[in-house]
Amino acid sequence: MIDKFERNVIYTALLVSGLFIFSLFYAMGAKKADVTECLPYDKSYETARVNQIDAHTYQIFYVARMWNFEPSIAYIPVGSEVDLFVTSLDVVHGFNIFNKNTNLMGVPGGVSKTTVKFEEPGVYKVVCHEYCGTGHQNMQAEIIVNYPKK
Amino acid sequence: MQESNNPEKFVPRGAIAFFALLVTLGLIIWFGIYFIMLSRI
Amino acid sequence: MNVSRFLKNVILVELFVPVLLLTIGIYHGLMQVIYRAGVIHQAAVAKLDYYQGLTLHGVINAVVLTTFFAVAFGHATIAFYLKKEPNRKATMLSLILMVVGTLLAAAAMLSGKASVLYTFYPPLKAHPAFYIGTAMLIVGSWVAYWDWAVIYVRWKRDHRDVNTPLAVIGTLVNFTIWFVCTLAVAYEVLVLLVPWSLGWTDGVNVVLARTLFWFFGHALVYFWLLPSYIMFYTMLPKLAGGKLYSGMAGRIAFFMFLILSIPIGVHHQFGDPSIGRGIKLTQSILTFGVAIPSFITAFTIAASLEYAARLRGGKGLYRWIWKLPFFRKDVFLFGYLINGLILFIFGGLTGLVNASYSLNNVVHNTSFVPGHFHLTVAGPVFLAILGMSIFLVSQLTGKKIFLPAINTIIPYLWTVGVLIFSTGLMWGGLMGEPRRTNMGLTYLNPASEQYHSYWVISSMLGLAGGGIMFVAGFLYFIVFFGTFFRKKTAASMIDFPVSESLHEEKRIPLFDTFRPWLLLMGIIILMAYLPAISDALNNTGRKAPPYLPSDPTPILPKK
Repeated sequence: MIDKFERNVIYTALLVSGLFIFSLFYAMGAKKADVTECLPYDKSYETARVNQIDAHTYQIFYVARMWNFEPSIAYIPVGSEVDLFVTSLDVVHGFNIFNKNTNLMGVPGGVSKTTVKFEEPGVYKVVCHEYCGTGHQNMQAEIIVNYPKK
Repeated sequence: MQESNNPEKFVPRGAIAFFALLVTLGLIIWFGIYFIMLSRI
Repeated sequence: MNVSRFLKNVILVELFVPVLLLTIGIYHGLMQVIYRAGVIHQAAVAKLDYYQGLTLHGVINAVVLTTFFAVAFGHATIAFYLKKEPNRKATMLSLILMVVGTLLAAAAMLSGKASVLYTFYPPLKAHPAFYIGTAMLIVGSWVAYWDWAVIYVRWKRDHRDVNTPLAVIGTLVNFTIWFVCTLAVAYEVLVLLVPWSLGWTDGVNVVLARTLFWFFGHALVYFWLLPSYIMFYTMLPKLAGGKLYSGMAGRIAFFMFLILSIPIGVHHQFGDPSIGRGIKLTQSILTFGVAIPSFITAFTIAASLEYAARLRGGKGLYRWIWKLPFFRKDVFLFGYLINGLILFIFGGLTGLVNASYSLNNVVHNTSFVPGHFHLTVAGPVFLAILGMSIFLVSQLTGKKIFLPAINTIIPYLWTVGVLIFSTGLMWGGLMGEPRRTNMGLTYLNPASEQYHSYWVISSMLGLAGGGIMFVAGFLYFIVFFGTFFRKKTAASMIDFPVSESLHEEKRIPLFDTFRPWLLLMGIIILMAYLPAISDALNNTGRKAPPYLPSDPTPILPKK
């Protein structure tokens, strides 16, 4: 019905797709590489705060609004695992910590969540990457990861 | 060489080579980003 | 074939309106790279602000130009192959809706009341004229499609056992995808957004609006791409002096697009809350499926070109490439199409990356995304539009091409520009450079505390590439308008190059009918999207009131 080379092209494309899908599942299982969790919304997410669960476990509840993130600076000790929650009080905002694989959308009426482990100290920039009005290019927050004072 | 231009016997060797290169490039680009992703976790 | 004066004028208007607006669209493309590289540190230039310009650029280049062209090229294709001109009343209705709608939307954008970008995500609010105008443009294109569908059904009744020409299959597949996907955005615009923007409703479910938009938004890119694919399959082999390696491959590709273009839109929403991960993963996997017709096309076109080159004496595993007519003025369309294919190699592969679930975390909303899509919509799509618009204008008006030598190099200059531009943007994106951002004010402003010095080099590459693209675009306008204003030297006609098949391929009824494919398309869409829509309806905690881009205070109804 179809030319034999064309048939092989289709098989090759399917094989490559299969390889990609397997790699994605491996990353999901072994490395917890995933997209935002799907959580039911709750008004409590609209209060920005940093919660410490224990010495190395934190939660940061981010609230995005035109045109800043709250908390605009958060201090986290090196070696911590942090749950990040993002919602918006007004329009759609982006939430990107590019060097930590964190890429979320802050949408009014919804909450996005991911978990990050900060092994290296430094200043991690949180950039809004979804157009949210005239102040969009000013919207940046920071997570400062350093060694806690003894 | 006339033979291989006969429609019945034309084997698209160049196209097969191109396709192999295309798939290779695809694997390089995709796995490049894949390993960047894993390194940022 | 000879064309009636009516159809000739309709197609010319449908080319002129978007190309005239394209001057604004291309100007704003250049301005984008100038702002973003930090050449200037301003919010606006010549009273047009950055985000207004970005909206004009996206809407004109990616919605107005592409829709008008698809309709104009569709008219020409259906008339040429089925030997029947479209119905006059339907065509006039279609034309008027499209032109008036476009003018409404353009007025809203130019007056600064619709700086919401071409995705118009709520709760950012535009003037109602923007939404209504865009809806009219889309509905106008539906009218043309319904008319062609009637022409086709009648033709098929009289030619039951004749294989429908591949170009006609492609056109009807394309517009069927378009009609189905635009139903969602029409609902979003007319039911959710227009009343809300007029103050008649209080809040909008933002996740639902986004989900409906992307039901449309992904299939939109295939609507852009398929006219180019029609040219690749049915014209390119003939232009190269050869034959189409497999018409059956083309049919399989088009029908695969029909069933898989729509049920994958959620891959633009991986970062969105409220939509379950299972659905995101499913649609990501389905997207690998829609890559298959493009792989088929890459091979089939390469094989067809190889055959043509070997007929001219091409030897070796790849040396045959040099026998192709890259710079011959009499087949200038070859240059436009081949450059589109070269760009699409990179565009298609990076598109796969974007849709690959967790890989999206690396690139979402960074400049990697416009880096990718300038290799696709500003690649094969745009170049096919440029080349074919010149081709049609020349044939329909009976005028010779103006500056034919310049015409042949435009696609090459454009390609060099896009490759530099997209390299800069993709590199910047991997370094976290955000898209849709006036970086000149902060991130690329040394006086700002938000200055990111490592984005200087990537945005400079974007500037260089964008500058070259602008020159190519400028030359295109000279050739296009120059051709139109020449003296008429030939009769008015449409005479597309038509590729013959290399192998004798029997007609297979399954690939010459729409019904089973339409059924499959519907089933897959329902399975992929019912869960997504249900999630958007059930998991969204509250609705959002409208906001103007300039004001953090919501527009609340007066009680």
